[in-house]
Amino acid sequence: MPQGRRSIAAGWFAVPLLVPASALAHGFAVRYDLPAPLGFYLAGAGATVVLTFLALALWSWSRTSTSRTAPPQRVLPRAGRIVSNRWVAGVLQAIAAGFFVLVVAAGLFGDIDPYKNISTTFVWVIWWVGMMFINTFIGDVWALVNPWNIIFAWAEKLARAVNRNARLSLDLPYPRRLGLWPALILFLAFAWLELTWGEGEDPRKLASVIVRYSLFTWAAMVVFGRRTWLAHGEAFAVVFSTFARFAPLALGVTGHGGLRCEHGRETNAGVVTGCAACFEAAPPARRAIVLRVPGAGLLTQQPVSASMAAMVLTLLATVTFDGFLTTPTWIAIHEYLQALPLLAPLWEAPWMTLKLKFYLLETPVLLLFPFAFAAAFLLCCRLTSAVGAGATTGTIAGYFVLTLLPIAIAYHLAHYVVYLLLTGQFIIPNLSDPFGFGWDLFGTASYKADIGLIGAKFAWYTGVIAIVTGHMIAVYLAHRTALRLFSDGRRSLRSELPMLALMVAYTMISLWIIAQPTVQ
Amino acid sequence: MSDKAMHGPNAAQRNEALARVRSYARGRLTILAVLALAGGLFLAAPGYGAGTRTVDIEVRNGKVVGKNSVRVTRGDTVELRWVSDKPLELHLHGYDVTTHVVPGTPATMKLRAHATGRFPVEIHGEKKSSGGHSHKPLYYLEVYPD
Repeated sequence: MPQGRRSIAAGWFAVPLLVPASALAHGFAVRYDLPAPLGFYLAGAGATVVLTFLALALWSWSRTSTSRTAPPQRVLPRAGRIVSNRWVAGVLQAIAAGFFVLVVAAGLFGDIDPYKNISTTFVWVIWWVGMMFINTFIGDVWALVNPWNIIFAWAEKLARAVNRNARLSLDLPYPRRLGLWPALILFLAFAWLELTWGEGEDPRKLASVIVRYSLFTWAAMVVFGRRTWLAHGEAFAVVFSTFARFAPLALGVTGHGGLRCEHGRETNAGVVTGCAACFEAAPPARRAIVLRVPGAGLLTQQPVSASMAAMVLTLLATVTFDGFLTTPTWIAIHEYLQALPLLAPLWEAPWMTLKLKFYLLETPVLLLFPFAFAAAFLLCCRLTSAVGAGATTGTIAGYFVLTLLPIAIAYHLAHYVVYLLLTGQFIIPNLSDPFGFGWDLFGTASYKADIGLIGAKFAWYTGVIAIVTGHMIAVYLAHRTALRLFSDGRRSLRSELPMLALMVAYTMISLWIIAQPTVQ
Repeated sequence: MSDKAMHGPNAAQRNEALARVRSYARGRLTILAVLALAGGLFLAAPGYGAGTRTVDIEVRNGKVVGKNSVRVTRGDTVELRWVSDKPLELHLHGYDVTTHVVPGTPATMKLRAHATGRFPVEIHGEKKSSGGHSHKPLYYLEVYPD
């Protein structure tokens, strides 16, 4: 079988590619991944279908009344006190702000070779991929080390030290209907920079983007207040905290009476869970770390807002789009669009450049992906609503959207494990010589990446196992959500069928992508 | 006596909590089973290839003539023999091998393929002027597990 696949791949290589390096699919494009062989794809796909049906069979036989209760959690007040201890927090914040300044300075003044400059590896591998995994599998660490938050908070303190009544923020009321839309739009812009821009490897341009985003963020904090902007508009605070809903640890504030905190996060048994803004504002005695089963944070008592649902769907879509960019299918679409007679005058226009052509082909697809995901998801919610009766499509969407996240997390792991562990090693020499000036601060400047650290087989197994596991967690969460929504056992089981079908399809797409011959 | 009265509800609460944990954990048993199964597959011991692969690659006008990748097996000794119509500095990423090609004389990259993966060969020297899209890799060395 691999032979057949290879010849297909070879065929694609032979096609004269008009696309300029279309698959510099990441800000820093050093990927050593081999596509997973067909056997891995088939085994993963088979396991996905069989296990989904097994789970359904199991649930249709057993009585599952206990599943209707909220998942258990443990509140750890002491851990909360440690995290918010002046010295612990101070050191963490100093390190985070230090790296932020270092990355920007290196980007602006260091060597322009992306391998010699710390900014590229730090931003694209260590921060964007690494921080994502820390937030997903540990807890919302980003909330504690977010340099935009830290630096603005320092400025606020400084202003108060100078003048007791000084306030940096105008604290204008944040329009409620804006929801998370500002964060969503900023995240889409970031996704474009990461996946389409193709200039993220240039330390100067990367630093200039960071500086602009920082100024914009701080300006927004001045207008709406620091915490409000972090909760609604700072793209990475919102994105990373969304992934952190999966994590076993969460920031918590005890002794809350209402159903939601003022930033819209839910309370569980009187504990606000996962709201960094509330955690920071609360008196130390009420701060805690909440321990829960991984994935439990994706079950909500009430439907999430429309903007939150859109945010999650956009995350799912961009994660998949990222992988889709390196498939032969994508190249075929590219070529089809370039050959369309309808578009020919556009491509031949005197102002058209190769790069602009590339942007024009890729950007609409990047923007279309979230809509396609949303359409498929809402269709399933509509079907669930028709079967389950009693709940509107919107409500069902608000309950179920987070249960899809484990599939995206798993795909992310499959997609990035090699990148993080092999390309991430560039950070070791970079730390000794962040600017590329020939320094050797820690004696690691001449470290060479060990490309044998993990092999292709390890990556394939990790990928397929992660994707199947993520799928099963998603299926289980959807099942629990259906049980909560529809009290009638039979109806609840039938009502979750559309969602399960969607999950199987989404998982299949993930598996399909990691098994595609890479085209670059 | 009052002790007993206090233990009663506590024990009940604990039992209830325990039951909840169990019901939650049951759903994850399937997941664990899959993990164990797949973990077992890891035990397939990796052998080690030992062939020598010599590949002749012609670069004309900064592009490879013909196929732009080669597939080898881990453990192979690989010799990439380059000829070019222009002087080039070539860099094989990952393995970090660099070679200069001068027109008329073949230049060889020799390495033992100890690590699996798909490693790009880039033309160096032209990249710095304009990062990003301009430096599409010239060639790929694909090392597959055995």
